[in-house]
Amino acid sequence: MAYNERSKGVFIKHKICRFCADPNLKIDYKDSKILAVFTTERGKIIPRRISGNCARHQRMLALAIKRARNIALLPFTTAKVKMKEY
Amino acid sequence: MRHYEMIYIVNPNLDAEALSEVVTKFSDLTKRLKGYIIKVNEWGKRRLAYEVKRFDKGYYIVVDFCGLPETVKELERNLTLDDRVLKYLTVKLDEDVDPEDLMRREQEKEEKVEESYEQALEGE
Repeated sequence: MAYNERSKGVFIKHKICRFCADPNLKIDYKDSKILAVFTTERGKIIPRRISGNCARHQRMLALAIKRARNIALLPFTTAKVKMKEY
Repeated sequence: MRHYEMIYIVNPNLDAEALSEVVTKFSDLTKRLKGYIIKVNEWGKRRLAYEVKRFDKGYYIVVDFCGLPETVKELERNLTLDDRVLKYLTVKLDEDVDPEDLMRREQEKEEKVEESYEQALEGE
């Protein structure tokens, strides 16, 4: 299936937590650009086993993404992608 | 006193005058409710990630302030009542802070920015 192959290729595996590696990289719910890196095209939060984040930073990130969604900086879901797939 | 950060989205079709009126309205209200405004930051018009009340754009305003839990409660009640405000979010940053200390720090930060700007001008 073409879709499965593509979805495997979308994520790139990072073994090191990016927030631990770079102390200048802050998790802030107002910074939608950084948060968008850790969400899928559909707007889902990328799991830890794929993004490689440590537990502490993943928790902080998840909270930040949820806050950003609440104030319309990030989407809960993207309706446009849905239309194409179904 | 607690340190809060509040973002609210205002109708993007308002003109500059009406916008500043909204900002001053809520700033004044915060002060009346025993709050201290530390900084008001206007992000301007931004595209919303999803439609809110049929708008796909919004004017973002970020307010950094200190207040009591009751201040936030009353502010949020007023934000829901105002038709010009599409959405809002309040986040608690810290408990037990001294508002005057925060204000002083904010002023120092601004002065530093001005200094570095002046230095940059002199350098040229």
